[in-house]
Amino acid sequence: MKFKLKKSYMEDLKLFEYKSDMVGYGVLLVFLFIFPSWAGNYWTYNLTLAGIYCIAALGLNILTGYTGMISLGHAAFFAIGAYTVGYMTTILGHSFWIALPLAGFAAAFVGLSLVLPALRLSGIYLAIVTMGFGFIIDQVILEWPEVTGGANGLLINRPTLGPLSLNSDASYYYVVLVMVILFVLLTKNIVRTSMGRAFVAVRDSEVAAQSMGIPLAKVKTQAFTISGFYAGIAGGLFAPLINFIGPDNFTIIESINLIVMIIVGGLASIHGSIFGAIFITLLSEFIRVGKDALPAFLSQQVGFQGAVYGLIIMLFILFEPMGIYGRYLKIKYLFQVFPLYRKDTFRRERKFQKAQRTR
Amino acid sequence: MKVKRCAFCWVTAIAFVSMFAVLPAFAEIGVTDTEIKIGGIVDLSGPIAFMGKGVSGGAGTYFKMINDEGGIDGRKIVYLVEDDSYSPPKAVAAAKKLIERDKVFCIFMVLGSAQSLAMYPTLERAGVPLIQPATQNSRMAFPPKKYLFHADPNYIVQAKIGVDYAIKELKMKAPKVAVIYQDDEPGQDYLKGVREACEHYKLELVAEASYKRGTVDFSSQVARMKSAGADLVMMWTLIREPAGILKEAVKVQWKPVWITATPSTADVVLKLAGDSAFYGKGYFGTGILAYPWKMNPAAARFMKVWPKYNKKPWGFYNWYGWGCAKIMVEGLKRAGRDLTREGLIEAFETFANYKTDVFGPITWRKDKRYGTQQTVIQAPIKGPAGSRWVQVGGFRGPSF
Repeated sequence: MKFKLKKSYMEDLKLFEYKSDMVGYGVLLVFLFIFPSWAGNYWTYNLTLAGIYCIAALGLNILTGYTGMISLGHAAFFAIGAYTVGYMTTILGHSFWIALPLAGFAAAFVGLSLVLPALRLSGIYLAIVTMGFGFIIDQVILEWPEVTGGANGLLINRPTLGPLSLNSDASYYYVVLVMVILFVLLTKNIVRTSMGRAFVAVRDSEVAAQSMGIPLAKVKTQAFTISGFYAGIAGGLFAPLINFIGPDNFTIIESINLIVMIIVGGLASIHGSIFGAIFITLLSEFIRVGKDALPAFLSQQVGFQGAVYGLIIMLFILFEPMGIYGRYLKIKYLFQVFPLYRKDTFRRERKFQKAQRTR
Repeated sequence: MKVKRCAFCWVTAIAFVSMFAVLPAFAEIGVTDTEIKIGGIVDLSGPIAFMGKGVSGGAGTYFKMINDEGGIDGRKIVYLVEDDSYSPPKAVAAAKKLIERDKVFCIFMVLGSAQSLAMYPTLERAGVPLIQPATQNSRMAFPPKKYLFHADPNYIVQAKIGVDYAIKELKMKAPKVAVIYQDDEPGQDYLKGVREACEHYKLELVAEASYKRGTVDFSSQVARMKSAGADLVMMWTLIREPAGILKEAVKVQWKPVWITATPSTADVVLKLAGDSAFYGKGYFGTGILAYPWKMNPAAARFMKVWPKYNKKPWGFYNWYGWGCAKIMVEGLKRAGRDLTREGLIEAFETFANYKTDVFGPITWRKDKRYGTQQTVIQAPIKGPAGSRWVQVGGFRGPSF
């Protein structure tokens, strides 16, 4: 195993720990840039959808993974973003490129209003409040037809970029790809600097964090607002992708799906959010394509897709609670120290006594 | 040498001409000499999986029958069904998969209006027709879209037919109308239809009660409608809700005439409602399907063929899928041997009062993409094996 001797504090803040990492990410980038040219519309569309969920999952991971506050109402932020873009582009006729940042800010602003209960509650009670928030937004969508189209939903056209039309799946894929890269870098910047460290400190022990001089209220507010912003942008990208949004798109199932993404991917990790979002979004499509290879009595079986999907998620939670990223780290470590791998390396340590964790 | 070159020119020219001459005979994507690939997208694992299973099962049975009879112009129909778990993004993905990987000729039967609307731009870009989305949403055919053919009468029309029936056939004199509807898109459509009907007949709409999906307690809605003095109640409900509403009416001893829209015209509704279905002054439904026990040739064929391919007894949704498949096959037949997507669209545009004996007579034109505006009227009767719906009148459209 490599041990890195750090000679200054600034080395902790570097974007890439090793120079060799850059090669890997460079290859990944090239792969992603040429992807639509050989993959076809179907897979390009799916990867675009996964990219949008990546942004939302990154935001949720900042809130849940890093700051330790659970949200069961994230679909609502997603919906606010989607409807902001829908309203601005179809009803008011503005450009998508103005609407998209506003979608993020609208969701962030609503996230700010959720801070009031969030500061007073934690754990399961916060989950209930955010869930209630999700239902409220659901109702607002239904009862405000002038803006949201009510139950009828909104039909949204793909945007144009100057003279370029983004109607094809490949062109919109590049828009989303650029956004995902920007948001990954943004997240990386947040979590490796003092703000992100404050998040982690608050998650691990509020008492300890406060006694170190971290303003609890401010940090939690930041986490909620940032998380809302991410989900809003993701929603804003989502609306033109599927061309139609209605209240059915943003139910509690969608919120739970986002939580599943970060749990399966890996909590408190950027890799984890990306792995999880891609895995969960593409899983049902892999099952869809894979089932064609199976005999008809299995592939035409009603509910086959749902059953396989549920089974895979159950197996994950049972056998790899650290998520896909945890498994990735273990495999990487196995190769680094081969043949000296010990099973106990990744056993969880208890860092705080229960009494120290009082909130 | 000169002659030879000239001969070479001739050969090339003939080869070229024959290539172009052969071109029209080249079949469209998804069509070979022996088969036609058709894709369907329904919910097989989500909240309305029972519907998806029913309609795709019914359509599948019809296609199997046609294939066993020799297919269409010697081509067998290959019906590929995709599951979307009732989620629009997944439905769009499924449509892309069917178009791109499976290379289907057309999309037939998509369950749900949000799903159909979300995938429509994709289909339009690819030039793939969508035949008969399984929904009664008014936005399918208004405004008309080139690649979308919708047969079902929507809920605005159904509400009008219901009020028509009450005034003309039940001879109700200036009834006070109340409407109870689920607070979503189809429910809003129905409300709109009731409002228009009341305006037409100068009726008083005394109460508009809505409920959220999944509601089980209707006491406040029923109390409101009763205290408003309503004697004709128009309902847009699903399977469980009528039982809750009718039982509540029994509790408060209220006896209006009930008229319900299509989603509640399945027999299971009556099983749940029990005797409360017979408590009011009448309980009627506007059904989009002719009832199979009201014997017509199509129904007789359905009853005979169904047990050959299925072990389970048939149900309401199977009959619906059967009807949709019948429309599809008729369109393919009319499009002829040189099957193209544009040809299929032209073929469907020739439908003029085409009688399926399942739906009302279907007419499609260039500027008209809703197939029929007619429904039957149904009423429940008590039978030896529990109560069931029967058809009390033929197909009828709105009078205004």
